[in-house]
Amino acid sequence: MTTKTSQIHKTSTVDVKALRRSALYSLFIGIAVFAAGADFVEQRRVEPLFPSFSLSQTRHLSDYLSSLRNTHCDTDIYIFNGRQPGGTALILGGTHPNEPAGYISAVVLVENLAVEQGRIIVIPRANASAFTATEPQEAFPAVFTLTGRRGKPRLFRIGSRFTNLLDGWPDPIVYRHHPSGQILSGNETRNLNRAYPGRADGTLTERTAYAIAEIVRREKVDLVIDLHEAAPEYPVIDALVAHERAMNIAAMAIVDLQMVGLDFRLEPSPPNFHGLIHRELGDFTGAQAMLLESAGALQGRLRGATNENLVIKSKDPFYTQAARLGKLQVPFPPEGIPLEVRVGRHLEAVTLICKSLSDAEPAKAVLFKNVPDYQAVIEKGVGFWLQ
Amino acid sequence: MNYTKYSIGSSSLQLSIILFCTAIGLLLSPAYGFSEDSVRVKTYLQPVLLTSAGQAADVMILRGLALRAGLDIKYRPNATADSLNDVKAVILVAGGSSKGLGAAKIDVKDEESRIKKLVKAAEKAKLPVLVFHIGGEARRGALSDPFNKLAADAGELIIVIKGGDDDGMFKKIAAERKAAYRSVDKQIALVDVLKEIFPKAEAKP
Repeated sequence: MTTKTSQIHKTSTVDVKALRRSALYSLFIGIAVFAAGADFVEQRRVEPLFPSFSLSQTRHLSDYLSSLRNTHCDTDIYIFNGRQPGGTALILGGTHPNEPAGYISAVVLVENLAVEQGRIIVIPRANASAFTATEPQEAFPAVFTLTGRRGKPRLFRIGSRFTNLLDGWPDPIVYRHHPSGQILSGNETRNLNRAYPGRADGTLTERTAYAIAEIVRREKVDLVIDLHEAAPEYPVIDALVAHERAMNIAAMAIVDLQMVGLDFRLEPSPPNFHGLIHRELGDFTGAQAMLLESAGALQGRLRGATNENLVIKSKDPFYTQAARLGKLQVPFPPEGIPLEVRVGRHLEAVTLICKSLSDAEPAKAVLFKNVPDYQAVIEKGVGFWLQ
Repeated sequence: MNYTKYSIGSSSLQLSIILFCTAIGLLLSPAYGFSEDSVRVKTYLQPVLLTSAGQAADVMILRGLALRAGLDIKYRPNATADSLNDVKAVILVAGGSSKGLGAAKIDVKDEESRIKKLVKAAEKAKLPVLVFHIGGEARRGALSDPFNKLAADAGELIIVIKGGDDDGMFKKIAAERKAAYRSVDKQIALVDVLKEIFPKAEAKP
């Protein structure tokens, strides 16, 4: 009897210990899952923007294709009307959310624009789903911080070149572009700048491209400018890529940019490479479509430590060395190519492209003020131009 | 004694004057002090036919520069002999582009043939052909050089942007053909060059 009681007592003691251990493990796992979950949910939180007082209207991409409603690709569209009639320009940032110069330039436009003639439509997060994840194995920071005009830190998200895999899984082995039939590697099926002119009943990325093309058609957009950033070793860099119908305006803008000391290459949109915004919106809509590329080490394969400093300063000793060896397509000074330079170039180019359109076709004039030029961004920094 | 002194003094004065004049002459000559860019150049009449030799986008840039310089230009990317009516000079912008040729839906041979015929017609019409190579190093190489040579062989003035003639190809062709040759640092500097060689240009907005 005594032996039995002792055994029961012993068993009971072991159970309690196991139970405690299990509870502890469960707690750790729970905390880890909660932390990962919170991090995951945090990636889907959209940071607020503070449009300028001259904002006329905010719409959503789903207003142009209802099937985008309640998807991660629905995004805000900011419309600024001028007092005088004129043309309409559509400016896109965040087509590739891993290219911060394009996104931040669009944000600076939204937060400062005052349109005097014509209308400007800005979509800062053209591929909103791609803002919800960074690229696997690239070690990109999830966010970076800029100090706004009033001294408050503003957090901006870095995303991926591609629509979040969770919004488009699984990728096909090959991506067949609609309607050309051109074949690219499977992951390009989630690249917004390979999806134009899009398809109303296609993948989420194709539907996003279709909705943007719908904006161009319904709003009778005259000029489309898509803002990007690329690796310093990439041949199409510090460049303005233009559809053949946009070449006159693009060339005049490049001459004007040279007059203010900024060199841009003029690249014709390749006629046989499909899915690109300048090719397809140029072919399938009435707009003059073009794309701007700035140079950033964050995009390149030669980069070292990939952190917030690289995002903002784009300063990298390996790129400095590559420049010394003559391996890059652009000058890469030891001090890097900071966000001020990349954003300043974009904003100056947007201004002078709109001016070229206004000079060449006065009925389609798009004129605005309060947007900083290159020198103003260099002198005061990007943060000064954020609310 | 005095006479001798006077004589020596006079010789010194004459020598000084000769040396001074020589120095001024040397300073004003192209070989000393002034660059070849500042030599007074031949000027041309307008309107000007602007076309490409190789279909590179550089022709569009030159069009922009020419408009900013106020030139009266007739831009014809695929100009033929018929395009020479009513123009007084021809500008060929040299440099090949596969994208440009693709967009124009023509191949290298078609483009070369067009340039040859255009140049021949310009010679027949006694129109000056001016060659601009403004794309730098990017417009040299296997695709571009046949167009570059074809254009340079026809030009009475060859203007090259820095980086486009590091091997001296254009300079050598110009020397062989006794054509004028100018090298310019940046594309934007061509606005002033165009104003200089087309003096009746009026700046346009």
